[in-house]
Amino acid sequence: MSAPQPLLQVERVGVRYRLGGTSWPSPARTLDALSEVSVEVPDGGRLGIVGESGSGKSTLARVVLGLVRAHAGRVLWRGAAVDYADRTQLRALRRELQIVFQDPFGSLDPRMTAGEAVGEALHALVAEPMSRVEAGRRISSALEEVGLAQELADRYPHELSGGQCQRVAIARATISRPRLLVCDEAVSALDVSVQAQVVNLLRDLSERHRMALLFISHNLAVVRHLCDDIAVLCQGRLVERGGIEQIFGSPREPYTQALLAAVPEPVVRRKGAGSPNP
Amino acid sequence: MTDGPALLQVRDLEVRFDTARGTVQAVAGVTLAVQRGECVAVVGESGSGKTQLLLACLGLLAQNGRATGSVQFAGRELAGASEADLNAVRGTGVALLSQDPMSSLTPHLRIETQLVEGLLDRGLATPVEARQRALEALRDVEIPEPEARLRQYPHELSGGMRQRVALAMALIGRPQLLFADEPTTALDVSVQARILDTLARVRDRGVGILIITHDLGVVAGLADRVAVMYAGRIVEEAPTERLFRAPSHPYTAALLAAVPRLHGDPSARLANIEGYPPRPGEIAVGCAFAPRCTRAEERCRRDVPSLAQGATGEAAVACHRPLRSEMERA
Amino acid sequence: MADATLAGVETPRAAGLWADAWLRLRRSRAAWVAALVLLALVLAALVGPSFSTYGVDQVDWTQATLASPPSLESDHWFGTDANGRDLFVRVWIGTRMSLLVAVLATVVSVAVGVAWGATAGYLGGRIDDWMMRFVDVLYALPYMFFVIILTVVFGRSLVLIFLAIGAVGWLTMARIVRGQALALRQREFVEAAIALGLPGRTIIVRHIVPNVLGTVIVYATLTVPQVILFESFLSFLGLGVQEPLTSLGRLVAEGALEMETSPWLLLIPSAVLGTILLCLNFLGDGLRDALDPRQRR
Repeated sequence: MSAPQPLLQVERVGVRYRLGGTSWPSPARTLDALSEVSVEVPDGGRLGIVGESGSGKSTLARVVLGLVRAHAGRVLWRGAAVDYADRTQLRALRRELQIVFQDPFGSLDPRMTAGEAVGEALHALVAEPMSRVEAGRRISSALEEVGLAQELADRYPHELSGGQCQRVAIARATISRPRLLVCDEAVSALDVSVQAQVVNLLRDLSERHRMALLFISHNLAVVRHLCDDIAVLCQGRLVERGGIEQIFGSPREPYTQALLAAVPEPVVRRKGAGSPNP
Repeated sequence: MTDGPALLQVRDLEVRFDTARGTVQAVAGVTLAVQRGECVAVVGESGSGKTQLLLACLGLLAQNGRATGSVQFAGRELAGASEADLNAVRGTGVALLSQDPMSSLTPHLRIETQLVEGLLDRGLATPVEARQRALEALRDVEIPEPEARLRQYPHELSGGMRQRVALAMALIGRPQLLFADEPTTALDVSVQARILDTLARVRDRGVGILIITHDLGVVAGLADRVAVMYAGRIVEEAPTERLFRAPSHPYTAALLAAVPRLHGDPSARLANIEGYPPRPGEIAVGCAFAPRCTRAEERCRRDVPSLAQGATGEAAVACHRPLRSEMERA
Repeated sequence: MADATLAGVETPRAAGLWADAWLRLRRSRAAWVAALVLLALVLAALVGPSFSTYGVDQVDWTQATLASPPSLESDHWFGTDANGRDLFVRVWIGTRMSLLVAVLATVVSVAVGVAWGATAGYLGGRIDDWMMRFVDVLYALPYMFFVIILTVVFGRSLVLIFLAIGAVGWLTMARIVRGQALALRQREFVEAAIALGLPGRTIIVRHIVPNVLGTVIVYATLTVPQVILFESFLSFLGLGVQEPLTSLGRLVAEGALEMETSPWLLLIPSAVLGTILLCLNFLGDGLRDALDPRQRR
């Protein structure tokens, strides 16, 4: 392995799903959601995973978090293989590895206020004992860091906008200062103006705290603004991997080219179009 | 533009909802026209009232919703029309393509049954003709092996294929006007592009399309004109090319700048609009965009700007301080 | 409950959700009136019999006929039954018994059903399969037979009736809760909780159960009437509450026999039973709405 140790390495991971609920007595049908996928994220780096629905990109995020069990391959954290069955190891890992999901409303418990959701994460992830006042202070500063006003802490998810909910989810995931934040389509459900805010927020957090990102999206243009490297997934397989320049400048795989061609841009298409708008 | 009345003419449409917390205004005085063979896009973020505008046009508002104003389809008034009159227009005059291809098809019925039921119920075709029309409709939206598809159930089709079937269902009654509500939002980009191409061909055959979307990129390849909605009002309306090249309303300009691009400096921060769109029901004095607008002045916080036609008459903007020069737009 | 487990966290509005729910419940007029009426009936059931000079099994031989109609002069405000016993006392004793059976059996079925269903739904997979197969097997047993065997083996006792009825009631509750829990399990906030490393028990208690409470409460208020009716059926078979004690179900059944000659024997217990069931339904609706945070403000 080369000198700087990657933060996260995913090595030849495969995931097989059992289809249909109760299969007994007939043998279960299976579907390979991922096969032989290898990616790595350097410390402080930002890797984008792109692909269409069914490409296995969300499954990859869940494997890394230990939410889905891989039947093949392994995940390495700072060079050491992660044993997801080892609770102590897993608890330590979760302090350093967190996730933000796609659905801004669905990723918050409808019966918990923003402050409670962040507080729950604080107590689950930060082991050291702290006073109520100290906890309250940390919750406020976590909300403040993601740009939420203090008075929003008492609101329930349905009283917040989509962008605000997503900020709460980011505050919850980053309160333990993780080394890597996995974002599973974290901005896809947001309105354009809010999407830009959240992309910028993630970038600021990543730069300020040297937090690596594993950013999963179907939108190549968003990935381009946020990541250094890109991995393209198609039907559970890795088809292309490279830096931003290479993937956007000279994509090798036809699948990647097709994805790029399909990105809708607000540019008037005429002859000779393709030049950037304002 | 054709002579005679527009295919769809909406005038001063207002939509209000009675809720436990009082009356909430979702749409405030929208005027809009769609001609035959023209595609008009209504662009707005969530809560802008774009979906309620569309539902009001179709007479499909929720129980507690009330619409006032006029909605004319080919000169015929739809606002306040009876359910029977509306049904006569639905399907054959106007059709709806909705956002979610999962829920727009009934899961337990074969594709054929769903396609032909509208025709048979209205006695517009014999069973044999109806089947023929169903095949035509499927070919029309470029579904491969249409004969085999007719026998399938919705869950056997992919998301993109389902949306095509939904489009075929909308078109089988040969409507003159198609309402499309975020028709590509739930789809992957590659599938999205093909649906948009199909919609463009439908428009070229003379069908008017009113498409509702939050995605300016979707509008680019399809719409002839764009109306940008913010907080229940149209803030800018212009031909697509002109809107993209020279937006007049600061909101339009900011929205365009916020879209992540495939070109330009990737390390640049995305331009964002500070703050959040107002929630429906928040009462704003003056221009609703003023709190987020970098150009807002005293007057903007006091008076609601009205939608004023520009010099050429093809574009209109509701702003006290519209952007005029390229300098300002940068 | 859900808030209390967040001990140590600075939650500015301490019992937020529950205080809000209480306020909303008070604002719902139907639910509030129903709660008050129910409270009045419970009070009457508790203290009512002590206002009468008659005992529950005391036959009044002074009346002209055994079944005498209600009257204010004779002290028999609700009249007497076919055996000459004071109906006022018997109705409130019966109400007491019916409510006791209903509440205890419902508590048993809610507690077991919610725990079982939420666990099965949350864990999913093979454990869920086995847990639900167990429920299926119990469903398949003819429960009347089950209750009869219980009473034969352990003898007749009130406690046994509560347990027997509760043991039958939790099956449906478990199925309903399990379905909801399965759906919640797919929600991203549960995945987020797992990613935070919260133990399964905490997730079930803090995230699954509070989100199924609305359904549980509505179903529980529907269970209470079922239990009251089921108890009267058991009593009719001679397996339920035994003479001289009585229950509303029994009183209605007995009254139905004398319907033509002494209609008050049917009308009075029916009115009390009907009022209780109606109030429970209103209260259930009100509680469901009150517990939904989306109704806030």
